Amino acid sequence: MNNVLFTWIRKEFTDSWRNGRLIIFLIVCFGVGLMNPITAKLTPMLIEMMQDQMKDMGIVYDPPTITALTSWEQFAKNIWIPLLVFVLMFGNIFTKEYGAHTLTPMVTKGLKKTTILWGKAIQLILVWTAGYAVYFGVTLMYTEYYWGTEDELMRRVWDMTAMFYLYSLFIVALLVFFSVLWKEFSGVLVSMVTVLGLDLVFGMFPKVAKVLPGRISSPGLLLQKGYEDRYEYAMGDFAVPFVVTLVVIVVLFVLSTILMKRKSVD
Amino acid sequence: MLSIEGLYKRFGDKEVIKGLNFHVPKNSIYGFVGTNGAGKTTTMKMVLGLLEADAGTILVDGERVTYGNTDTNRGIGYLPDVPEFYSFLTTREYLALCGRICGLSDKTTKTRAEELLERVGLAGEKHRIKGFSRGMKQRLGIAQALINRPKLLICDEPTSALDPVGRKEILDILKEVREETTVLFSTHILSDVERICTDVAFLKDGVIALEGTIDQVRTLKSNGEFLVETLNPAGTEALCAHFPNAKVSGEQVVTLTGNDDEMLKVMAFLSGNNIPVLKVERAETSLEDLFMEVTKHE
Repeated sequence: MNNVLFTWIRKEFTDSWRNGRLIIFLIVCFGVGLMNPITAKLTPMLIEMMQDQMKDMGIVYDPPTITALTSWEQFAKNIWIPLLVFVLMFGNIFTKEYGAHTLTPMVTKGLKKTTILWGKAIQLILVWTAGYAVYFGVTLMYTEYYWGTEDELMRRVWDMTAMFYLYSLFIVALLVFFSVLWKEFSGVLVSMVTVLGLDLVFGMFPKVAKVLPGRISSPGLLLQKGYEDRYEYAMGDFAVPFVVTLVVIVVLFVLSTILMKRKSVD
Repeated sequence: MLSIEGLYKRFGDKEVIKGLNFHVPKNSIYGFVGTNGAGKTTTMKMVLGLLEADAGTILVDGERVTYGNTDTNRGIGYLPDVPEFYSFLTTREYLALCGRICGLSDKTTKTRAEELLERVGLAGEKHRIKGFSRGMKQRLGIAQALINRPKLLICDEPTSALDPVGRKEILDILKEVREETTVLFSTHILSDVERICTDVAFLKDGVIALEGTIDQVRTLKSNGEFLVETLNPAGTEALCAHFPNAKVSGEQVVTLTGNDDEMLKVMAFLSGNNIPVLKVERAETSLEDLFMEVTKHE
């Protein structure tokens, strides 16, 4: 790796480590990851505790059978929480430097703007990957400990995890792209919400939805009952948006690099 | 060292720089003087490649500056008016970061950082930059600007927000570094220019109104006056009686006008008539007077 790029990435990590953002984010990922199997484990106990009250009210409810699938369903449901926390905690790593004018001495020392962009993008990807790995790892560890995951389910879990990982990289690419376009974090957030909103709106039209990145943002579908019987079909269904998302990520990074060269960072 | 030819820059409808030309000689301390909004910072940012020029050429040590390409900056050190740093780093860590970005080896960076911290009086500072005073930041700013032994040091109003002690410290450091680098120093504090600069340019309405060495500029605008201070009133009277253009301008002080030959004639008269004098000196036009004259609105 280029020595200057490595130095720049190291500076980024020193920043997030010393101001506590990195450790807080990893703790959040650990906590939310732990919540998935714990919630699954506690649900029947809670229902049992409330059963007497429910009986008095005339409600009869059989405690559900809890399996590894329940834990992984929780994983899919909560998957947005770490991503949202990540965007809010790390989303301003470009804009806070524009505002503080801390990049000016660096650029006047000969630091290339593309190195600034890639150093920050790599840090975002690495931090998110670490957080996501913690989130997945903790859920996997406790789910295995309590129930064990069958091979068939595990295969679907891996696919689901990979699918959402690609979607999260799309979010990172959007974050980088809008951070090149805007000077303020609010501008970045509004632009991202607008793009994701449009993705959601167009996703209502089945023909268009099949190709949009939003399609792979809900990979929990893969865990639903019935999908095991038509798994290959389901994966085929996700293949096109998967490739589209991949292409969009590459395009966003290329555009960001081109625009960054022309951007005033002073 | 720095050569600017036909530089133009417009912001919307307002043309800020209108065909700027000037040359900064090697190892000079070049005072770049102008009122607020005259275009000093804009010019410096174009030299640093931080702003794109609409037209014109900027050469740093013979190499052309291109916007978006920061290669020429490797030979430049820059000290902004309000330098901002990464507050989570210590001074040594910050200088190490700057050194690595400049392509220096870790060993060279470490040695150079210690040398510079000693020079700017921050050698004993082990804490993070967070909490540094304005003066400390300015001194660290000079250290970071000099880490790569730049051929050209650009300082944008480095003393404008400092107290007299802080100002003196910064000016002394700039004076010292002249031996190893060329300094382009923008300011509107003319006493700072008089104190350290070898050359000066007055910027007015986006063009250079006056440029040269400090002595040249003073001579250029000098009206040829010189002063004679006699020891007693009789000497003053004798001078006034002998030289028709002599005017009493103070207690036993006579002002005369003329070139060096005229001045020699006066001195011969004083000597020939045994008139005791305290001093004979050329009345220098202050930079402040010059600046007011150059920047006055027609």
